[in-house]
Amino acid sequence: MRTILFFLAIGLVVASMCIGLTAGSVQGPKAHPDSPVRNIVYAHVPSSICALLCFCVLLVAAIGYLKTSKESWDRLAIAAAEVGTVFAIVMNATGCIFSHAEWNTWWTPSPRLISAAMLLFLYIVYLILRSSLSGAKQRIARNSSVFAIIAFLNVPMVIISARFMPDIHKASFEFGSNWQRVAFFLGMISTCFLAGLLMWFRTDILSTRARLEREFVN
Amino acid sequence: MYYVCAAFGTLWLAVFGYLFILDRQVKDMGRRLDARLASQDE
Repeated sequence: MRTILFFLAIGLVVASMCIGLTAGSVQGPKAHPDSPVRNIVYAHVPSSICALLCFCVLLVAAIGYLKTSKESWDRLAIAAAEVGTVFAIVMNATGCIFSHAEWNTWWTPSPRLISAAMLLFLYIVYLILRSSLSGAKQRIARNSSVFAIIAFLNVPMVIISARFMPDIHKASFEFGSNWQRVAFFLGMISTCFLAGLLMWFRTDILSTRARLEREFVN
Repeated sequence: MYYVCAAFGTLWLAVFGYLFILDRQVKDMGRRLDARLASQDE
């Protein structure tokens, strides 16, 4: 079942990439109207949305843990943070590549770019915090959950930064044709599916490890 | 086109890199389980 789902996700991503690479231009910040570079949005935007969604899952898991103290919430939080880090890396890297191609600079201090970089750093800080805290598991999980809830404040910043402040990064883009709309939504669905699958794999590994540790201790 | 390939390549690299890490964790778990079972048998 897992293998089928994984290959389905890979197939969807490949299909969306193929469509994304051929779908043509998308209205966006552009120096050259017919540049294929704008096709990067088919990888960049879905990854960004996935990174933000993973932070939402992390928030729900953190609140769930603080309310119930169940380890399953904590495992979900770890999985969401790790998968979110992967997509935040993709978001920032593809953003840098797009920026260099279109604006001739790898990075510039604009509100959206700063908040996106902060999102990645917050994920990394969360993971470092988890691994560096010592003491009982419950204490580590509780402290990490509190940090995750506070760090979530950056998510609305990422969303509203380009809308309410002057920014080189466009707040949204328009589709030129239905073909582009299909390419974008296929990219969105496949990337979210992939993120969910990775999160499921990671949660499964963590719960198996916890079960083994419990069984060997008893 | 070079930039587009670099961007999509980064996506694949990140996803497969993470899958590689998960795979190593599963193998490590299997090794530890085998070692524990072997020590229990002794």
